[in-house]
Amino acid sequence: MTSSGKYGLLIVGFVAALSAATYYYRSIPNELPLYGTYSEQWLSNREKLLTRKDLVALYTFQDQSGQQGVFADLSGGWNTKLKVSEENFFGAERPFDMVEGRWPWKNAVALDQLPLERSPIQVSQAGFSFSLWFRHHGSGMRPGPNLDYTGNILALGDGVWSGWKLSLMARSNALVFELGQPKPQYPVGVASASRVPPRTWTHVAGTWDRNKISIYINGFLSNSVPYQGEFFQVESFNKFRIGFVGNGLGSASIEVDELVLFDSSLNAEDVFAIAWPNESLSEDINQRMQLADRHIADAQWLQAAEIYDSLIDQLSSSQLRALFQLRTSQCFAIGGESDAAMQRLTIVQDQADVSDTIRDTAKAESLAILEGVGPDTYPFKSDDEPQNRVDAHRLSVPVPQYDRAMDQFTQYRNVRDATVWMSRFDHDIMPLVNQICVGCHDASSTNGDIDLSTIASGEIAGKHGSFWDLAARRVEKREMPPADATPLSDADRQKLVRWMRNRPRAAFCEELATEDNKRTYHSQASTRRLNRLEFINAYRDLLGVGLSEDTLPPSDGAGGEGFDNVADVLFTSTSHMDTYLKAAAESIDAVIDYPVSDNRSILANLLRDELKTQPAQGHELAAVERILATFARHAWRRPVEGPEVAKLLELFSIVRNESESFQEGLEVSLQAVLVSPNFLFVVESERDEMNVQRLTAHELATRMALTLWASIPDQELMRLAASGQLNDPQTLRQQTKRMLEDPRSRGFGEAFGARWLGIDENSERVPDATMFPEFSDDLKQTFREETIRFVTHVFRENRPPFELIDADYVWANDTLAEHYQLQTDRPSGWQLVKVTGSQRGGVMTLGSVLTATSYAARTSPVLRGKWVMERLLGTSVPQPPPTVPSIDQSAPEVTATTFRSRLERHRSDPQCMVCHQTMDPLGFALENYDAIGRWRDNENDVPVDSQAELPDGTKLAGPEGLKKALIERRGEVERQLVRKLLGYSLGKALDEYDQCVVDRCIKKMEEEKIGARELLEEIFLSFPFQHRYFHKGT
Amino acid sequence: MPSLPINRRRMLQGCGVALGLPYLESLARASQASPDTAKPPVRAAFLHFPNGIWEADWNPIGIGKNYQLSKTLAPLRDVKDDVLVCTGLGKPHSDGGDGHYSKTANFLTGMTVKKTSGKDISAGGISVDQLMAKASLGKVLVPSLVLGVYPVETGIDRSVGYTRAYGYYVSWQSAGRPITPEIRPSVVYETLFGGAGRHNRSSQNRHLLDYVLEDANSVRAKLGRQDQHKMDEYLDSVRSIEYRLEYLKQNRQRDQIQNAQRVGESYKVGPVHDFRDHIDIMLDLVALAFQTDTTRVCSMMMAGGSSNQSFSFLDGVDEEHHTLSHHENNPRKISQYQKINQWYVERYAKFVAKLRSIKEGEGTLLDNCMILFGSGMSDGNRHDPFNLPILLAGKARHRMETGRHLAAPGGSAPLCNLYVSMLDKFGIATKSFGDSTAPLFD
Repeated sequence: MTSSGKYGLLIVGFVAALSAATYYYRSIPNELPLYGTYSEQWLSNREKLLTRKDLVALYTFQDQSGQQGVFADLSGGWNTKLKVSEENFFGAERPFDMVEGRWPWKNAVALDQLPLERSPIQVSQAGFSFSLWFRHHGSGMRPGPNLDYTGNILALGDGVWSGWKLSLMARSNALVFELGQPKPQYPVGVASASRVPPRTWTHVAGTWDRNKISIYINGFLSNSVPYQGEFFQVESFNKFRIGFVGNGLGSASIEVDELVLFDSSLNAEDVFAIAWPNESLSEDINQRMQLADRHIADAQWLQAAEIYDSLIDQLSSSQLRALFQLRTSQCFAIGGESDAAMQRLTIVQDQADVSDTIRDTAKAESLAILEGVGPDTYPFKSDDEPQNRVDAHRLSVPVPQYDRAMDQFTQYRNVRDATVWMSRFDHDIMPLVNQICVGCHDASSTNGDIDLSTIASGEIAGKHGSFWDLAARRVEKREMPPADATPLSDADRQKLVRWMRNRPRAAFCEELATEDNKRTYHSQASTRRLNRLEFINAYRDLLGVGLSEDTLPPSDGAGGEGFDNVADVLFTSTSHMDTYLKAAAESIDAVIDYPVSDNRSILANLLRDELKTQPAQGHELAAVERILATFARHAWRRPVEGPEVAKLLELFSIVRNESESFQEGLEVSLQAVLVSPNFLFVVESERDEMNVQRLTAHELATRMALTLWASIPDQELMRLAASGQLNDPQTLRQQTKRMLEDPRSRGFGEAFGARWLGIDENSERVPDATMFPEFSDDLKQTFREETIRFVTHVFRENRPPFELIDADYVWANDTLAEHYQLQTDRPSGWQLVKVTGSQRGGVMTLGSVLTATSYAARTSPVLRGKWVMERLLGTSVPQPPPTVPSIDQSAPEVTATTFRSRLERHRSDPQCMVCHQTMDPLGFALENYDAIGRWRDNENDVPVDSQAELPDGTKLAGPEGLKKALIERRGEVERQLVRKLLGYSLGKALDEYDQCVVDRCIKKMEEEKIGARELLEEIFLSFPFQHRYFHKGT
Repeated sequence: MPSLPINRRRMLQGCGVALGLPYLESLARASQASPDTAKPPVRAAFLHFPNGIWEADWNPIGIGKNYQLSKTLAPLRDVKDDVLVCTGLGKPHSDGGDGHYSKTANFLTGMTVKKTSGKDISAGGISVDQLMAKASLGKVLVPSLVLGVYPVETGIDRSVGYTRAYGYYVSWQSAGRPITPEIRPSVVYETLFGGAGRHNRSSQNRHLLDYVLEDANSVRAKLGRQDQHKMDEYLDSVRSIEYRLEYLKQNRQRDQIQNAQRVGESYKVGPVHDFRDHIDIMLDLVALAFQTDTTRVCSMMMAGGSSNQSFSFLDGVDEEHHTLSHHENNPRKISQYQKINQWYVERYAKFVAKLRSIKEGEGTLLDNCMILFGSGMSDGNRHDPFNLPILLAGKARHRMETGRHLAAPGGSAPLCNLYVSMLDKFGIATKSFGDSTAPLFD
């Protein structure tokens, strides 16, 4: 677009835009908390913006033009409305929500699924700028499809090969502003030198003036780097986007307000004025700030700090003083003066009359300093990167130390938030509650079910968790206090609601997402049928019979964290029902017609006890009733009510009379128990209108049995559920131990172990029969068995969880001992065999894993490396770009050596390097194992080269080196294991509410060195495992 | 039915609203109409093969009647007059989605496959075969036959963020409810032809189902909204079994059922282990089901959506299917890839020839069929969802002109345009389906 053309259009759209602006904001309330007459200031600022010649677009998100998902460009730009992308990436049903924006009366847009987009902007080679308010949701970051570590906020084109983008680094909460460069270069850009805390509004501006790229946070220059090159325009079919971008760039859950785009480079004064329109700085102060900016550009943070510091006393408003205090402390912190920084931060965060933005940022900064997540861990300020050149690709590989620091930071923030919240109760809230509420809500009254007089401290208040959400709603809606009670002033009402709503995140450990506070559970089913394995095992335990091929249910797909026990993907088709009917008929027949004396199953015992002799005439029904009631109780895993037994008995009578056969009647009614949804489904039913409920002891028993046995509870567990003892943590721990020691815990190894490691019995991939004649179905089963036994063993014996990676033994039988060439007496059956050296031991050396990560005819370092990254380290690896040629390793002329050198050449392509530089070395370290998991020193008479080096310089020499590298990354490995365990136990994808269970488990592992079984106990005792969220029924 | 009738009726009325398929109502309507009209019914099968094709060897030469078969299509030479080769059809809604999942699961819906690791799984709409199955209710014993040869694979493809289950479903009862394919020939056989055996116990089975339906409804009432959908799946599956029992009872004397029972006595299925036998036996069963009018609609996945089946039984093929489909324009891989494509075409040609060898009325069974064969992508190397390989055999009761190469008008059209035409020939008048813009042919 030429500039004259644009201005022409601008003038045409102008009149309409101005009148539209007036219309939109006519209903602004006069009295606004904190901001006074802000609205007028802001409106006049708006008018100033609209008259700027360099304005390209202005979006306020206030209007929806009567069209869902369309926002007008108030600058009047033609055909530049923002629209919800039609690219249905995560689903278009609820692409965004409107949320309260920067001011209580104003909307902003929340984006976490689809981007908003418009036609691309032509960027002037003279420079450009953007300005926006945004808020993100820390751990609510939605992992992108590929890289977990960046979340897009704005992007023109992809911002990688052309255009520009602004993104949020998920781990550090720093912002990155990049200009794309044509292949094979990387983008150039700048990272903010301070973090942006979650859940608070932050102003961000970015500029490029042909000389340097700068990023401003909350009106102050945060960082800048020189760049005098060209700007690479995007193609006309590209888009300008806000929010999720896809294409491997990740996504963030963000809210955006007040977006302005300019085709000139704003100066620092402009940026400050846009960020804080009701504050003005004198000419003198502006000049001093320019000096500070120059220091920042030269990374002279202490000098900048001193300048800001010297200005504080000259400022007119408390808001401005707090802002400069904050900025001073940030510069001190980056410059290494933590004490000076802390001193000022303490002042700022206790100040009541400043905006949330300032206070929250100060809080985040101070906690970061307390925890040592200070200047030296700002990811872009390390010594070897004096230019602050952003290499987002490199950063996408997680840095373990940094992760750990961030984890600690999060924990401290939680503790700190909780302390502040509790002390606020003691000082501000409790007096109000006592004065206004306790009069009615006391021990003697029946108003609600809460006695507020018992909440005598912030600490007790914290234990009431989600009660405060309910209370906040009622107080906010003026339902409480009622009209005839002591009145509550508006200011106090606001104070109360605000405190209730600010309940700290630490309390999440005691709650689940609800309709009100999270969209997490929307359209997520929780009632599910038994999966194939659970069905088979439940039949085994109830009836003591195996199932024939035709009565096995079909296999199941996976969801959530990758396990096949997720309600969303457990569908019930006609072929399932066919199978259920047939399985019930055949199995019940088998137990009744061919009673075997060693069948100790529940049903066999029951029949033996009740039908030792033909029941006497007239006593027949009573015997059948007892059989049906007991059988149903076990099969349905809960007490069975009278009317339910009566129904079964009625069925018995009908069939018995019609067929004139006692046995026929009994068989059909027993079948009914097994075809009933009470057996086939894990039914956890709603008991009252609350969203979150504690499970009954029987439901808890069922969850435990499904997790530990992939089956139903046994008599002992049912007994403890019936007596309520299972609710006692000590009993629960004892039961976990008992159940793991029971042979049925093999089900855990199968359902969790094999799935976690990606050993799929249905995989179509089998080693090539001509090259590997040694491979057989028998060996495949042996591998699988080894996997199951090993994983189960670590949990059963309460071994350190990391032993899954680093064990000095294997489980082997004679087949396996031979295959692995174990130096041992030939074991006759399965047994634990001690090994020395690093050839065997740990999941990476399992035959099942090594085969599953090989092609039919050859090993694949890439697949193996990918496996280590995905399964053990929890890092996702994107698909290769479709344009990148792979290596044809099957061509006859390719030998092992040439393959490796080709792969190395392949990795030197920057597109491939990002992933392969980590993936390949991990895989090469396993090259001593062939495609069916045998150890080899040579391949085709050439010694195997299993040396490799990770990008951070870690040398990997063979499996031992790999183990060492994993020990280095122990934290990541353990976190991944805990995530998988929890995801499996809950049968769903984890959300932020589950995060603190993960955190707590990690902490226990670090501090108390708990074993694998105790880890499971922690999970069983956790809130999400013991509670359930219910959707409102229809 | 001697007892429980009142409960049942009430229950059926109660849940009729919530349930998708009013099986019993349609059955009642059908039994009032006169059975077995003179005209044989139209049958439709949808066969999906994985991993796309090498286009240069697939595309036929010339358009219309006088086209020449390409190298990969050569196995069609004996049935050329009965086959319609379609080119230029595509699935625009697959564009942009990753990997095989977004190209496979919507083969018969044409709509967008939702990117998800499980939550809110969706193929965008009902699949064309299921729409036809609905229309077959009350007319045949088994309204919908959904077949496969591989069990659903578990796990999530972390690289692209889709649950692997997507690679194993092409039939969708609704956007969010896939139908699990039956892969065991013995079970398929039992469902289709085991009527006689089952009939002995049908009255007891009825009581059992009555009990279970009532039970399920009381469980359903105690559940939250989302979980009720799960129970609806259960109820639907119980009712489809009930439908079969009822159908057998009402149509016991009809030739349709008598023939099926004769087949049941004469044809036996044992366990299969070989991939090739598995496909052949499944297709045999489809032919028998069509011949006896036991089913009129069938979908079959000839392998998983990104199948890595080994084809080492073919000369010169030494790598797996999916690996080869990423041929990178390497002639050595392409030649192997092409051989696998051709092998699948051979299976299809054989099946078509078999249907043609079966007499029906004045003509052949094939004359009354529409047998679609295709893949959800064209070039497997690029996962290209345009210019899909699509073949259609049979004359739909002489209402469809075969023996020609039909290129989409203007070079490209949605695959759903073909489905609209097929729905029309099947007797379902509709202006649109999925993302169709117009019928592909009249």
